[in-house]
Amino acid sequence: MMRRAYPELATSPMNARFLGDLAPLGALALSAVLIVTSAPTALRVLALIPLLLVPGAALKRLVLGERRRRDHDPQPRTEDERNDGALGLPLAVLLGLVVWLGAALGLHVLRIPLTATSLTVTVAGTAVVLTLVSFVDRRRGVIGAAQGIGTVPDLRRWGAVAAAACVLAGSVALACVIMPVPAERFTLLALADSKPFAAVTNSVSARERVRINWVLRGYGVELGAGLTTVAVRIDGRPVEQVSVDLGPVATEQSPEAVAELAGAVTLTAPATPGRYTVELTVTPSSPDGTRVPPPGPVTTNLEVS
Amino acid sequence: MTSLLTRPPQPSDDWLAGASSTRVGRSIGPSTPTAGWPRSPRPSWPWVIAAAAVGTVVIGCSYRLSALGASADLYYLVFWIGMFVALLPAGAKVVAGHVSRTDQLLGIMLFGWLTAVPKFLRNPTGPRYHDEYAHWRQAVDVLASGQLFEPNAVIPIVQFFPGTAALTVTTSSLSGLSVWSAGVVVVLVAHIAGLFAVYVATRSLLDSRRGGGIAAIVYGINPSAIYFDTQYAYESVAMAFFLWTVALTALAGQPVSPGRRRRLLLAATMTAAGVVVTHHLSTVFLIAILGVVAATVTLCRLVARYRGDSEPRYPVAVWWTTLTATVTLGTLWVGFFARPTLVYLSPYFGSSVDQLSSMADTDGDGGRELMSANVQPFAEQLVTAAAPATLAVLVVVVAVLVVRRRVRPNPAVWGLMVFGCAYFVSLPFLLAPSGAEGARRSWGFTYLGIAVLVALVALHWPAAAWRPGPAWRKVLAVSVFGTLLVGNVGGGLNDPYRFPGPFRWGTDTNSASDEARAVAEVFHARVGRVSVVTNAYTGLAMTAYGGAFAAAPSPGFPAWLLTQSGEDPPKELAAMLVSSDYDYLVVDIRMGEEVPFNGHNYGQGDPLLGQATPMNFLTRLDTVSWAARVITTEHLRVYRLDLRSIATRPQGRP
Repeated sequence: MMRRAYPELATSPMNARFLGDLAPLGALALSAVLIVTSAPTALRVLALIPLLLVPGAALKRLVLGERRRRDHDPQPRTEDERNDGALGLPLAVLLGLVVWLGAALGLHVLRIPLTATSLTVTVAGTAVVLTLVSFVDRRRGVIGAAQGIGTVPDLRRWGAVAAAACVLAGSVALACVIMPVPAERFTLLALADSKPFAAVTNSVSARERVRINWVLRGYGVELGAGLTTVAVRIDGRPVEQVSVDLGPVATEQSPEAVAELAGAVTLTAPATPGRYTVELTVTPSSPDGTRVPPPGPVTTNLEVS
Repeated sequence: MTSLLTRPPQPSDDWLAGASSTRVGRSIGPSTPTAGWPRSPRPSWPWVIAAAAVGTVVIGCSYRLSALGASADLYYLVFWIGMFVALLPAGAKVVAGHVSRTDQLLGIMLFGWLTAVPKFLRNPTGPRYHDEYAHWRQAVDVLASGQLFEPNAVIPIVQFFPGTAALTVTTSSLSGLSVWSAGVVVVLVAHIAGLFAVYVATRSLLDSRRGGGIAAIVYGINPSAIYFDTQYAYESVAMAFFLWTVALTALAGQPVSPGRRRRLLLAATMTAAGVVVTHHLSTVFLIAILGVVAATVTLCRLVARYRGDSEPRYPVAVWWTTLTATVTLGTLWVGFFARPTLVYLSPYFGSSVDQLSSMADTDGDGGRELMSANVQPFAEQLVTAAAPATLAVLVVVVAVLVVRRRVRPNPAVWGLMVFGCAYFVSLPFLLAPSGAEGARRSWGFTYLGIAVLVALVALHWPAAAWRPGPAWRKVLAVSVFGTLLVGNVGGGLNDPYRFPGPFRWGTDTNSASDEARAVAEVFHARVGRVSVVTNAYTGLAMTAYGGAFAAAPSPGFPAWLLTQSGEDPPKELAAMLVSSDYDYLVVDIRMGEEVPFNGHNYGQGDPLLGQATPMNFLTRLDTVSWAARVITTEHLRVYRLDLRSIATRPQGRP
């Protein structure tokens, strides 16, 4: 990959490297601002890159650095040695993940909740510290000169890589589109009162009016209140005199487009004291009368005293 | 640029290799190990990318066919056409004779992307594999609470290895991506980074870029790579740290300055720490591989000293250093944060060895039949059996090369190959019911050694006298690649894991439904996070989407008797259920309509193994006094249990 230095920075290698160190810190600061201010997801996804690579690259420089000019190794520095992409970028990514891991574990130890803000501050702060330490190390000559990033990469190469990435992503998207997504159509009936869920028997007097609330939800189906029928059985025997209240059908504004129908039945408790099982069956229907999969009955207990 | 593989042998000018590597890849015989490879025409990048895109779409077509219920022979064939179209050009880009370093590295990145595509397309929008439910739920809970170490109902041990959840939550929090999308990104990055680790390690150990590329390709098609280690789970993430720990230690063993060696070992320690906090089994295998290599390197040094050869000291120290650091970190982590790990891991090895022993003593009954109840095409089954045989042949070739002194691998290479041979030791364990899983899980780790071995063979193919011509060499290379690719994938996960399909009761993947998810979500909204008794498949939805804690039935806690028996539960079971607050039973009536694909509804202790639950066992629940159906759909029923009367019944009364 050909690189051309900014001409105005070429006057001092140290200035070029210093500005090269500032650029990633600037990107880091911008990324942190985007995340903390809850910018759109597309921007925040891009902001991940500096937050991963800056601490990772700084840690990689501390670990690997560059060969010192005064090294005792007799082998001359080769192109491989100066520019080992197989080691540099992947290791920077992996060490960036190590920094993220350490940040999350550190926050947990300090009992600080893991949030976007706390993670951003911790990761960015760590990145700044690591970058400064690597800069100090370089000044002291502990590690050799790193290549500054104040250069202009080969735009054609990066453009080709970006285009290839778009093609590959597009092929994956196309493959996802051609796969059928099974469209399930079903209904769900649930008791709405709290006593059945607490295993608390509904205690009533003989011939007392009892109200049982329920909710019917339709997934992938439309519900028609007018055509929905309700039946009640007590200990297996149908109850004729039942009054049914049906609310309007509400549809959630969500991808699943769930339709919901709330209702209630009111019946008269048996005259004879004892424990009874009440079975409630709601048979749904769509507004145009097409068959909707029935959910089956729900049951609750009644204690008549 | 002169290829490293065609110039005459000389001390390497790659700064990563040094004196020790002159032993590696350097033939003592008359011909060089690098001479004779053809100037392979490079596939151009536009063709490689086009092939990758077409192959990806063809794989999607195979999934479409399987989802629509087409013949297994058809969709398997389409799948493999897509895989070969995508992978062959990318692989050629990595191992071609005159490819530039940048092209090679981009080729590795592309190969990593392509080997992650099949799993991504399998379930792009949410968890579908058993472990994915566990880790997705874990990340959701950590994100909600802001704290790591949340309890996990699907795989309890996940609580104590927070690496995957930590990285996922960090990615999700920073980017705004959903938990699932963030997890997919983390796994993809880890997968690709892992291939680079294999490349770096092998390149330095064999002193060959091409060798590194070959090893990366071979590792990229290991039996765990294409589905298991690209699922959203802790092994997928830990694998990258595992591979880089080995790679960094291998680099530290090269002739570098003491300061640089210390820094490399420090980096290796950091990545080892990443393994330790992410996955228990990866930690075990990391200790194993470091131990084997350290022991091998030490043994080689002792032999060399006995013979009077002079060997530099550092190859021994670096491996022992990383091993010691890993053992220390692992011990501290398990000791202070993850004690249940010991209990979790101990049953598997012992019981599988016992099972193998009992099979050997008797006539083998009780074991598993390899590839039983399999819809795999017969051709794929044949190739699955051929893959280990192919590798065995390559092991023999290495032995021949060493005996004829055409190659003298350095001690670290020896150690990795010895570790890789554990792959062959694991194969008999496929026959033991509780050993099969362990055997499969080992392949992602031992295949690092296999990859190095294959690269060694490829670089040092025997003498010109019987070396095939260029065209036949290509045929041989593609054949070996194809055998390993098809055989490894075929020997990995079963059909429901690999391919989408119509609803099939009794599979972790194709028993999932929106219906179960809806029940779980409504249930959670109604009662919160509670304990439930349910079968293994509905349990995944209830725990992942409902936050429920599903019972783990066992002979000592036979919760399965609520549905797998036509009688009321015994008093003791009722008492356990009441005291442990298991107040709900969730039933899917399809348990009564089909025999479960996996052979059980409640694990291997299910009293009705291999049978569908009699429908009257399920329908009677609507008539018993201790269960009331409170939520219902066409197939699922949620019963509120009230077992107090049974639990407190005086002894002797029915």
